[in-house]
Amino acid sequence: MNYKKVITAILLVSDGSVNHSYFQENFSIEKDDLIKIFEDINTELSDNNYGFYIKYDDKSSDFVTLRTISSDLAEFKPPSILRGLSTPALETLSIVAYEQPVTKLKVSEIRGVESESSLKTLESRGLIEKSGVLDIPGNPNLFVTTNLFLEKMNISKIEELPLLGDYFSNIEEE
Amino acid sequence: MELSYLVDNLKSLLVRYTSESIQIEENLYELFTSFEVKNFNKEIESYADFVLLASSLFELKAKRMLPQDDEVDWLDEVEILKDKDLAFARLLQFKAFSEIGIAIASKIKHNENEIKSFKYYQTKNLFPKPDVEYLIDKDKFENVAQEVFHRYKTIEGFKHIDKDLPDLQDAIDDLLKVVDKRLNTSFESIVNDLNTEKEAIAFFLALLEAVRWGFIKAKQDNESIKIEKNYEL
Repeated sequence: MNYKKVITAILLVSDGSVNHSYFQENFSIEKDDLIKIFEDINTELSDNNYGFYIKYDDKSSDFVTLRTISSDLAEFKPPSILRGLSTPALETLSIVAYEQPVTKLKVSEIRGVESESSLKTLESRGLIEKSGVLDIPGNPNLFVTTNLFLEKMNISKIEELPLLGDYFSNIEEE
Repeated sequence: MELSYLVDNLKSLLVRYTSESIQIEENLYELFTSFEVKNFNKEIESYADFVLLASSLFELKAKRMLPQDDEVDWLDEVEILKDKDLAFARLLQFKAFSEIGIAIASKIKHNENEIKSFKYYQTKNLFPKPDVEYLIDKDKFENVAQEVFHRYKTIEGFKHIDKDLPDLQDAIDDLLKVVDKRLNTSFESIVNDLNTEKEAIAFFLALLEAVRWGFIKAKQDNESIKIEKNYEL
């Protein structure tokens, strides 16, 4: 079977990133061989000066455009998920990301102000979602980040977020 | 005097006087009033540091001016220290998350320079399933569909749609203007000034949209819908 043809066609029409397990199960390809095929295709695309490549990680793969031509694609770029997000909303997002699963009360306690509207804004953008309730009187909702957040952060699981200290290590060095 | 310079100054004073048990000679009042008040809004985070450092120094100076009694109630002292440490820890935690929020935004922005091949899931994620759902009557839907296709073939086409319906964006702008002017208002008082039902519907949709994006807060009791500007954003 011509794996390159099938893989590129599936990535073109798939609904989102394709898990490696799909190729492994349906075409009996080992993961290492699959990665090798991705690399080969990317080399060919690069050699022929195409403006996109296959982006893959440990779990999945998808076609993306090259970062270097980003400014030339301004007209076609989908609106940023960050459009209109305020600084308080970003603070709230970082708290949910690092403290999840977290209640509204805990977020408000850390920020020192009521955070309901920030949480709702982030929820309406699909960056966070409710995931169960805390087993205490009142059963407050617990908030966690979504797969869209992981995708936007370019990570495959929440454990891959940088450690809190990493954000400040450069400052200390200075 | 620059606020950041003053904060550094206060930090070094606090470090010096907490490591040495001597009386604080500096005139703290003069030091605190020596910087320009107009900078408060621009450097609100430094101002928070300033308040904490200033209050700590004042407290230290006040204590050292009192006669030193050997029989200090250390439990009270520890409680005060705990509260102060907690306040400082919260300030640090909040400041850390503020900066991480900016770092996350910068990372997302950087990643968005790579555009995924367009698939419908990208829009599906942007519009999560709403809390309220309306069931569509199959027959009614068919009638509407037939009318749409019928109109499509006529010369007039869909011109009537632009003509009849008020613009939702205009309604949102108008609503926010009204809310901006008053401390709080009600939906009823806004729609009283309108002329047609369609405008009222547009205002109601605008209200839902503005609440969804967090621009305003709305609360419905038995009689009316109370609206106020959301100052948290």
